[in-house]
Amino acid sequence: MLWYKAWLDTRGRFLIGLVLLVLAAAGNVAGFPHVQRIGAVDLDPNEPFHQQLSDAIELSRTFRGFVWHEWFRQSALSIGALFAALLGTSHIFSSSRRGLLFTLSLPASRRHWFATRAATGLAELLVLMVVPSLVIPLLGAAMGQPYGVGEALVYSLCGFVGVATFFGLALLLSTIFHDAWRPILIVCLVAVCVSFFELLVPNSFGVFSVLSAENYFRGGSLPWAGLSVFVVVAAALLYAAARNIERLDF
Amino acid sequence: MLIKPNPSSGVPIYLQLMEQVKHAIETGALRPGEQLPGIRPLAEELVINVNTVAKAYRELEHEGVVELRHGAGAFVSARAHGTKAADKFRTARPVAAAAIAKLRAQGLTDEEIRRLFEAELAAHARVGGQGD
Amino acid sequence: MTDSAIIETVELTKIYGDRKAVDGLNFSVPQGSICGVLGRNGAGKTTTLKVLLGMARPTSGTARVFGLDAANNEASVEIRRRCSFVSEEKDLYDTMTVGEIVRFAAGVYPRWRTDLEQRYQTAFALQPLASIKQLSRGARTRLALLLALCSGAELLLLDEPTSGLDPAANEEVLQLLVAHAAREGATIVLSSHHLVDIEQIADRIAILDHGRAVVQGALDDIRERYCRVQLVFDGPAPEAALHTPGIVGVKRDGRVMRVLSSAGSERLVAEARALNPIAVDVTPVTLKEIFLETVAVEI
Repeated sequence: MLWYKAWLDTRGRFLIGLVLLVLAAAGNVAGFPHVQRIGAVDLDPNEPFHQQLSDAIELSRTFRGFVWHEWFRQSALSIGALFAALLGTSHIFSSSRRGLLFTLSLPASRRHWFATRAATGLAELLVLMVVPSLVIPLLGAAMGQPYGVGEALVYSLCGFVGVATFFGLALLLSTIFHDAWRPILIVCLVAVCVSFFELLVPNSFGVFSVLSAENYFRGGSLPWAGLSVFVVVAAALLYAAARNIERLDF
Repeated sequence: MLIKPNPSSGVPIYLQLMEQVKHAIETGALRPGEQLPGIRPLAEELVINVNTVAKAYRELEHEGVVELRHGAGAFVSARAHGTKAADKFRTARPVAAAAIAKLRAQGLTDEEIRRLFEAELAAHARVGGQGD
Repeated sequence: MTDSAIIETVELTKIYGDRKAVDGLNFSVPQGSICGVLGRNGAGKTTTLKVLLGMARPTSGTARVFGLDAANNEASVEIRRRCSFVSEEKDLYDTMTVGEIVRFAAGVYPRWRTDLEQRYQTAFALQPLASIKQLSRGARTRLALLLALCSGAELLLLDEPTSGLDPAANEEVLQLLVAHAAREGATIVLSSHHLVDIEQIADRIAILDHGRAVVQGALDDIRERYCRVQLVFDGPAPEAALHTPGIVGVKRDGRVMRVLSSAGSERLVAEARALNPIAVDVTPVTLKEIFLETVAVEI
């Protein structure tokens, strides 16, 4: 029964996210033919971000590179992080939630509620990251650009690990702040700061590199070490959130 | 048959119930040997606490007015308290009538007489049974 | 006494920030009783219920329900299996329908009573497909009560169950509670501002003020102990203090002195006669008068 409640609370955001991500993935892929038509580009070596821009242009010459750079490295992660934040803030003990005292009076421990809620959120997040990414092999085939389902799965699963961390952060923040918008704002700020940092100082922490399995893309192995770090961080955030919820007074 | 007690009269509900049962016996509405309403149905009908009804029945049994037969219910005591009480009333009425006539002659209104009696009763009813 | 106490708090204190919501509360409820909890807004009624249900942790002191420690997480879940609650706001899941929340509660309470569910659902005329968001206040109260009554709970904690109801709906709720207590032997604790309702169905009361119980006990006992003694004097009422124990309050108004006693009238009248009043009247007091005067005194 607790699963049903968790689903009811999050299904709105989940379904909107699913539709949005599917459309975004499709839109992304559909843009490839246009990008293909760009001819040689002369970039002034002294221009800022020259290296990043020319890398991006080079990658976009192939469908595989284009999809990896545009979708798995950028759009999927940013939209995914946003929905991770949205899912993480609609939790069962937020003060604004209707029926809060009724929930608290039921014979279910807060730990049980939390575990159900976190598991549901993570499952939904997994679907949000994987399903839209499977659109790519589908559309690609339609466009005459073959793309491996396995490959899509690898990148989307790595991305899931990353956005799961944002989910954990959002959940933790919503046990500290009692309104809905502050946690979302903070998570988005964190995401934006991380992106800017990566942009200005590329390959320092390699956040995007890990989450988009760059090494794997370039023919190497999966970034197990980096992914483990994210998993540990996400687990720590969820644990802290659970502890907070146990201690709350209503 | 039993009317709804008044919760805010200041008189405990169980006492009101007891008075009603005794009054019903005196007027003949309840005859010796007749069964009283069950505790639970009565509580539900009057919308009062079942423990209160139980207490009233227990006190009535204590006073010998009713008998509680295990499993069967409460029955008006066959010891014909009805006729005894009726006698009691018959001899008491002239006493009350004389007192009222006297007080009226002194110029008291009926309302004043009633309050006088209530105050006297209340003042002396508390004797024995109050905590310190 | 303690063995049959289904609820017992000992010096329970709960502080929120800088506010003492409950301040050394000693409160107990015997099994099988209907206990009315009265008090002004902010007296600590709701906080006490929350502590008993594990929604808030005591700052100090103990609270036990069914003999279990309400502050312990595991014990609290066990307490809630045998206990049900209706909040003041009758706050339920707006996103569900009547049928869905009933199914939900049935799945969560291990002792759910399906027989009662049938009976109450028809008696309350609640449509299973109705959305909770659109229910009227009376219907929402009935739904909340249905969930509480069908949960199979031995103890019902009700926070202002009749607030906002019209007189007919009010009486319906009282009938329900009396019938449920009579048939199922459940203990009911209800906080309320409707003193007449409490006088009607409760056999035990507790008056809370500033987080403490200022009056507590069997209602009949309280009714017998509390009385008002009115003394009328020839001249202005004397300022002399009365020393009889159990005096709650004395009011002087011209030639009249009114005393509220919580220990009967005999000793008080004896002491008062020494002041030579020209009239002495002893009258019973309503719960309302007891409430108003014991709550005012504490300030």
